[in-house]
Amino acid sequence: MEEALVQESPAVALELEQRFHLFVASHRERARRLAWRLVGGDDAAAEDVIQEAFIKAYRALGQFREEASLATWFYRIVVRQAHNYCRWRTVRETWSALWHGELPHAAAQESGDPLLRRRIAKALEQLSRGQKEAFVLVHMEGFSVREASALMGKPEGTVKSHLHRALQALRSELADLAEDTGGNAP
Amino acid sequence: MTQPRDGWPQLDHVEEQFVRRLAAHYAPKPLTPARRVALDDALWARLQRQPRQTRLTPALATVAVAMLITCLTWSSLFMPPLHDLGSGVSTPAMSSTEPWEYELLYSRELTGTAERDDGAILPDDYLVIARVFLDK
Repeated sequence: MEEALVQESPAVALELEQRFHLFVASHRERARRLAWRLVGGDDAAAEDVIQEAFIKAYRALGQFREEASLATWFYRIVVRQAHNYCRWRTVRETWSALWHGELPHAAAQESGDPLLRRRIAKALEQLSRGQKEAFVLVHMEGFSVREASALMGKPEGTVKSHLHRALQALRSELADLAEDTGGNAP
Repeated sequence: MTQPRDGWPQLDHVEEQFVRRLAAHYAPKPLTPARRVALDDALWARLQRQPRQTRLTPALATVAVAMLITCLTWSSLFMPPLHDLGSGVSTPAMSSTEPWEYELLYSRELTGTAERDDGAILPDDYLVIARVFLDK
Protein backbone atom coordinates (compact mmCIF):
# COMPACT_ATOMS: atom_id res chain seq x y z
CA MET A 1 0.00 0.00 0.00
CA GLU A 2 2.66 2.40 1.09
CA GLU A 3 4.87 1.33 -1.77
CA ALA A 4 1.98 2.01 -4.09
CA LEU A 5 1.59 5.48 -2.67
CA VAL A 6 5.27 6.25 -3.03
CA GLN A 7 5.60 4.83 -6.52
CA GLU A 8 2.47 6.46 -7.93
CA SER A 9 2.97 9.09 -10.57
CA PRO A 10 3.19 12.67 -9.19
CA ALA A 11 -0.30 13.50 -10.45
CA VAL A 12 -1.86 10.50 -8.74
CA ALA A 13 0.15 11.14 -5.57
CA LEU A 14 -1.05 14.74 -5.56
CA GLU A 15 -4.63 13.60 -6.02
CA LEU A 16 -4.25 11.19 -3.11
CA GLU A 17 -2.80 13.94 -0.94
CA GLN A 18 -5.69 16.21 -1.79
CA ARG A 19 -8.12 13.42 -1.00
CA PHE A 20 -6.38 12.87 2.30
CA HIS A 21 -6.47 16.61 3.16
CA LEU A 22 -10.20 16.62 2.52
CA PHE A 23 -10.66 13.45 4.52
CA VAL A 24 -8.78 14.90 7.51
CA ALA A 25 -10.70 18.16 7.31
CA SER A 26 -14.08 16.43 7.22
CA HIS A 27 -13.42 13.84 9.94
CA ARG A 28 -11.00 15.57 12.31
CA GLU A 29 -13.54 17.02 14.73
CA ARG A 30 -15.80 14.01 14.94
CA ALA A 31 -12.88 11.59 15.30
CA ARG A 32 -11.32 13.73 18.01
CA ARG A 33 -14.60 13.97 19.91
CA LEU A 34 -15.18 10.22 19.63
CA ALA A 35 -11.63 9.42 20.76
CA TRP A 36 -11.88 11.95 23.59
CA ARG A 37 -15.06 10.33 24.87
CA LEU A 38 -13.65 6.83 24.57
CA VAL A 39 -10.37 7.58 26.36
CA GLY A 40 -12.09 9.28 29.28
CA GLY A 41 -11.74 12.95 28.46
CA ASP A 42 -7.99 13.18 27.87
CA ASP A 43 -7.12 15.76 25.17
CA ALA A 44 -3.57 14.61 24.52
CA ALA A 45 -4.56 10.94 24.38
CA ALA A 46 -7.43 11.70 21.99
CA GLU A 47 -5.07 13.56 19.66
CA ASP A 48 -2.58 10.69 19.74
CA VAL A 49 -5.33 8.23 18.94
CA ILE A 50 -6.63 10.16 15.94
CA GLN A 51 -3.13 10.79 14.61
CA GLU A 52 -2.44 7.06 14.60
CA ALA A 53 -5.77 6.44 12.91
CA PHE A 54 -5.14 9.13 10.27
CA ILE A 55 -1.71 7.69 9.52
CA LYS A 56 -3.29 4.29 8.94
CA ALA A 57 -5.99 5.87 6.79
CA TYR A 58 -3.33 7.63 4.70
CA ARG A 59 -1.62 4.35 3.98
CA ALA A 60 -4.89 2.68 3.07
CA LEU A 61 -6.20 5.55 1.00
CA GLY A 62 -5.48 3.91 -2.36
CA GLN A 63 -7.43 0.81 -1.37
CA PHE A 64 -10.69 2.63 -0.79
CA ARG A 65 -12.39 4.15 -3.78
CA GLU A 66 -15.42 5.26 -1.82
CA GLU A 67 -15.03 7.77 0.94
CA ALA A 68 -17.84 6.12 2.95
CA SER A 69 -16.07 2.79 3.21
CA LEU A 70 -12.81 4.53 4.12
CA ALA A 71 -14.64 6.48 6.81
CA THR A 72 -16.16 3.32 8.29
CA TRP A 73 -12.76 1.68 8.31
CA PHE A 74 -11.17 4.82 9.79
CA TYR A 75 -13.64 5.06 12.69
CA ARG A 76 -13.13 1.40 13.37
CA ILE A 77 -9.41 2.15 13.76
CA VAL A 78 -10.23 5.07 16.08
CA VAL A 79 -12.34 2.80 18.30
CA ARG A 80 -9.63 0.16 18.40
CA GLN A 81 -6.83 2.65 19.05
CA ALA A 82 -8.83 4.20 21.88
CA HIS A 83 -9.37 0.77 23.39
CA ASN A 84 -5.63 0.00 23.16
CA TYR A 85 -4.86 3.32 24.80
CA CYS A 86 -7.25 2.58 27.69
CA ARG A 87 -5.76 -0.87 28.17
CA TRP A 88 -2.23 0.51 28.42
CA ARG A 89 -3.37 3.30 30.67
CA THR A 90 -4.82 0.70 33.05
CA VAL A 91 -1.47 -1.10 33.06
CA ARG A 92 0.41 2.16 33.66
CA GLU A 93 -1.94 3.18 36.47
CA THR A 94 -1.71 -0.20 38.15
CA TRP A 95 2.08 -0.07 37.89
CA SER A 96 2.18 3.47 39.20
CA ALA A 97 -0.13 2.63 42.09
CA LEU A 98 1.98 -0.38 43.00
CA TRP A 99 5.32 1.40 42.93
CA HIS A 100 4.49 4.95 43.85
CA GLY A 101 1.20 4.55 45.66
CA GLU A 102 -0.53 7.14 43.50
CA LEU A 103 -2.74 7.30 40.45
CA PRO A 104 -1.78 9.62 37.61
CA HIS A 105 -4.67 11.75 36.43
CA ALA A 106 -5.50 12.50 32.83
CA ALA A 107 -4.64 16.04 31.85
CA ALA A 108 -8.15 16.93 30.82
CA GLN A 109 -8.90 20.54 30.05
CA GLU A 110 -11.30 21.86 32.64
CA SER A 111 -14.17 23.72 31.10
CA GLY A 112 -17.92 23.70 31.68
CA ASP A 113 -18.65 21.59 34.72
CA PRO A 114 -15.47 19.62 35.40
CA LEU A 115 -16.99 17.77 38.32
CA LEU A 116 -19.93 16.53 36.27
CA ARG A 117 -17.59 15.65 33.44
CA ARG A 118 -15.46 13.54 35.73
CA ARG A 119 -18.56 11.82 37.10
CA ILE A 120 -19.71 10.96 33.59
CA ALA A 121 -16.23 9.75 32.64
CA LYS A 122 -16.12 7.57 35.75
CA ALA A 123 -19.59 6.16 35.09
CA LEU A 124 -18.60 5.34 31.51
CA GLU A 125 -15.40 3.67 32.70
CA GLN A 126 -17.46 1.35 34.88
CA LEU A 127 -19.27 -0.03 31.85
CA SER A 128 -17.89 -2.97 29.91
CA ARG A 129 -15.88 -2.16 26.80
CA GLY A 130 -18.77 -3.09 24.48
CA GLN A 131 -21.32 -1.11 26.47
CA LYS A 132 -19.13 1.99 26.58
CA GLU A 133 -18.32 1.86 22.87
CA ALA A 134 -21.92 1.23 21.88
CA PHE A 135 -23.22 4.05 24.07
CA VAL A 136 -20.66 6.58 22.90
CA LEU A 137 -21.03 5.66 19.23
CA VAL A 138 -24.81 5.61 19.09
CA HIS A 139 -26.09 7.93 21.80
CA MET A 140 -23.29 10.47 21.90
CA GLU A 141 -21.87 10.43 18.37
CA GLY A 142 -25.07 9.70 16.48
CA PHE A 143 -23.98 6.58 14.59
CA SER A 144 -26.83 4.22 13.76
CA VAL A 145 -26.92 0.76 15.35
CA ARG A 146 -25.86 -0.74 12.04
CA GLU A 147 -22.92 1.62 11.73
CA ALA A 148 -21.90 1.00 15.33
CA SER A 149 -22.14 -2.73 14.69
CA ALA A 150 -19.75 -2.37 11.74
CA LEU A 151 -17.36 -0.20 13.75
CA MET A 152 -17.33 -2.51 16.74
CA GLY A 153 -17.27 -5.70 14.68
CA LYS A 154 -20.25 -7.11 16.59
CA PRO A 155 -23.77 -8.17 15.55
CA GLU A 156 -26.51 -5.56 15.70
CA GLY A 157 -28.36 -7.56 18.37
CA THR A 158 -25.31 -7.45 20.62
CA VAL A 159 -24.97 -3.70 20.10
CA LYS A 160 -28.64 -3.18 21.01
CA SER A 161 -28.19 -5.27 24.12
CA HIS A 162 -25.07 -3.27 25.07
CA LEU A 163 -27.00 -0.03 24.54
CA HIS A 164 -29.85 -1.12 26.75
CA ARG A 165 -27.59 -2.24 29.59
CA ALA A 166 -25.36 0.81 29.29
CA LEU A 167 -28.34 3.14 29.54
CA GLN A 168 -29.69 1.29 32.57
CA ALA A 169 -26.31 1.39 34.31
CA LEU A 170 -25.73 5.07 33.56
CA ARG A 171 -29.21 6.07 34.69
CA SER A 172 -28.61 4.22 37.92
CA GLU A 173 -25.13 5.69 38.42
CA LEU A 174 -26.12 9.24 37.45
CA ALA A 175 -29.61 9.13 38.91
CA ASP A 176 -29.69 12.83 39.78
CA LEU A 177 -28.89 13.73 36.19
CA ALA A 178 -31.49 11.29 34.90
CA GLU A 179 -34.24 12.73 37.06
CA ASP A 180 -33.49 16.35 36.35
CA THR A 181 -34.80 16.82 32.83
CA GLY A 182 -34.50 20.56 32.84
CA GLY A 183 -31.96 20.36 30.04
CA ASN A 184 -29.51 23.06 31.12
CA ALA A 185 -26.73 21.65 29.02
CA PRO A 186 -23.92 24.02 28.08
CA MET B 1 -42.42 8.47 23.08
CA THR B 2 -40.35 10.49 20.69
CA GLN B 3 -40.51 9.85 16.98
CA PRO B 4 -38.48 6.67 16.33
CA ARG B 5 -35.62 7.02 13.87
CA ASP B 6 -34.81 4.11 11.63
CA GLY B 7 -31.63 2.38 12.80
CA TRP B 8 -31.53 4.06 16.20
CA PRO B 9 -32.88 2.62 19.44
CA GLN B 10 -36.19 4.02 20.62
CA LEU B 11 -35.93 6.09 23.77
CA ASP B 12 -38.67 7.64 25.84
CA HIS B 13 -38.66 11.35 26.55
CA VAL B 14 -36.79 11.07 29.86
CA GLU B 15 -34.14 8.79 28.41
CA GLU B 16 -33.64 11.04 25.45
CA GLN B 17 -33.21 14.07 27.69
CA PHE B 18 -30.74 12.14 29.82
CA VAL B 19 -28.69 11.02 26.82
CA ARG B 20 -28.65 14.54 25.35
CA ARG B 21 -27.50 15.88 28.66
CA LEU B 22 -24.63 13.39 28.90
CA ALA B 23 -23.54 14.12 25.34
CA ALA B 24 -23.62 17.86 25.96
CA HIS B 25 -21.68 17.73 29.21
CA TYR B 26 -19.23 15.10 28.12
CA ALA B 27 -17.62 16.67 25.08
CA PRO B 28 -14.20 18.20 24.43
CA LYS B 29 -13.68 21.86 23.80
CA PRO B 30 -13.68 22.58 20.07
CA LEU B 31 -10.25 22.93 18.50
CA THR B 32 -8.99 26.46 18.18
CA PRO B 33 -7.64 27.35 14.71
CA ALA B 34 -4.10 27.48 16.09
CA ARG B 35 -4.48 24.07 17.69
CA ARG B 36 -5.93 22.66 14.48
CA VAL B 37 -2.92 23.90 12.50
CA ALA B 38 -0.56 22.45 15.11
CA LEU B 39 -2.35 19.10 14.93
CA ASP B 40 -2.18 19.03 11.14
CA ASP B 41 1.51 19.95 11.19
CA ALA B 42 2.24 17.19 13.68
CA LEU B 43 0.31 14.71 11.56
CA TRP B 44 2.18 15.64 8.37
CA ALA B 45 5.50 15.54 10.18
CA ARG B 46 4.70 12.02 11.35
CA LEU B 47 3.61 10.99 7.87
CA GLN B 48 6.89 12.25 6.42
CA ARG B 49 8.92 10.34 9.01
CA GLN B 50 6.87 7.20 9.17
CA PRO B 51 7.16 5.52 5.73
CA ARG B 52 10.87 4.80 5.81
CA GLN B 53 10.71 3.37 9.31
CA THR B 54 7.66 1.23 8.63
CA ARG B 55 9.04 -0.04 5.35
CA LEU B 56 12.29 -1.14 6.94
CA THR B 57 10.97 -2.41 10.26
CA PRO B 58 9.24 -5.61 9.03
CA ALA B 59 12.21 -6.45 6.82
CA LEU B 60 14.68 -5.93 9.66
CA ALA B 61 12.55 -7.91 12.06
CA THR B 62 12.34 -10.80 9.57
CA VAL B 63 16.10 -10.78 9.02
CA ALA B 64 16.73 -10.72 12.79
CA VAL B 65 14.40 -13.66 13.41
CA ALA B 66 15.92 -15.61 10.51
CA MET B 67 19.43 -15.00 11.86
CA LEU B 68 18.40 -16.09 15.33
CA ILE B 69 16.83 -19.31 14.02
CA THR B 70 19.92 -20.02 11.89
CA CYS B 71 22.26 -19.47 14.84
CA LEU B 72 20.20 -21.74 17.09
CA THR B 73 19.96 -24.45 14.43
CA TRP B 74 23.68 -24.41 13.63
CA SER B 75 24.81 -24.33 17.23
CA SER B 76 22.55 -27.30 18.05
CA LEU B 77 24.06 -29.28 15.14
CA PHE B 78 27.57 -29.03 16.59
CA MET B 79 26.66 -29.64 20.22
CA PRO B 80 26.97 -33.15 21.73
CA PRO B 81 23.60 -34.80 22.32
CA LEU B 82 22.19 -34.37 25.78
CA HIS B 83 21.85 -37.42 28.00
CA ASP B 84 18.37 -38.70 28.51
CA LEU B 85 17.85 -37.75 32.11
CA GLY B 86 14.44 -39.32 32.37
CA SER B 87 15.40 -42.92 31.60
CA GLY B 88 16.92 -43.61 35.02
CA VAL B 89 20.02 -45.35 33.58
CA SER B 90 23.21 -43.49 34.22
CA THR B 91 25.95 -43.83 31.68
CA PRO B 92 29.49 -43.52 33.01
CA ALA B 93 31.68 -40.98 31.41
CA MET B 94 34.43 -42.97 29.77
CA SER B 95 36.95 -40.19 29.86
CA SER B 96 36.97 -40.04 33.67
CA THR B 97 36.76 -43.78 34.27
CA GLU B 98 39.63 -46.19 33.94
CA PRO B 99 38.96 -49.16 31.62
CA TRP B 100 39.30 -51.71 34.40
CA GLU B 101 36.77 -49.87 36.55
CA TYR B 102 34.33 -49.78 33.71
CA GLU B 103 34.75 -53.44 33.02
CA LEU B 104 34.41 -54.31 36.70
CA LEU B 105 31.27 -52.29 37.11
CA TYR B 106 29.40 -53.04 33.93
CA SER B 107 30.60 -56.29 32.53
CA ARG B 108 28.30 -58.25 34.89
CA GLU B 109 25.31 -56.25 33.86
CA LEU B 110 26.09 -56.74 30.23
CA THR B 111 26.99 -60.43 30.36
CA GLY B 112 24.62 -61.44 33.13
CA THR B 113 27.20 -63.60 34.95
CA ALA B 114 26.71 -63.66 38.68
CA GLU B 115 30.09 -65.02 39.78
CA ARG B 116 33.37 -64.04 38.23
CA ASP B 117 36.96 -63.79 39.29
CA ASP B 118 37.92 -60.18 39.29
CA GLY B 119 41.55 -60.90 40.13
CA ALA B 120 42.61 -60.78 36.55
CA ILE B 121 41.42 -57.25 36.03
CA LEU B 122 42.10 -55.60 39.41
CA PRO B 123 45.34 -53.68 39.93
CA ASP B 124 47.93 -55.21 42.28
CA ASP B 125 47.29 -52.99 45.31
CA TYR B 126 43.56 -53.77 45.13
CA LEU B 127 44.37 -57.44 45.01
CA VAL B 128 46.43 -57.12 48.21
CA ILE B 129 43.52 -55.48 49.98
CA ALA B 130 41.13 -58.08 48.64
CA ARG B 131 43.30 -60.89 49.96
CA VAL B 132 43.37 -59.38 53.46
CA PHE B 133 39.69 -58.50 53.79
CA LEU B 134 37.94 -60.97 51.57
CA ASP B 135 40.17 -63.86 52.49
CA LYS B 136 41.01 -64.63 48.88
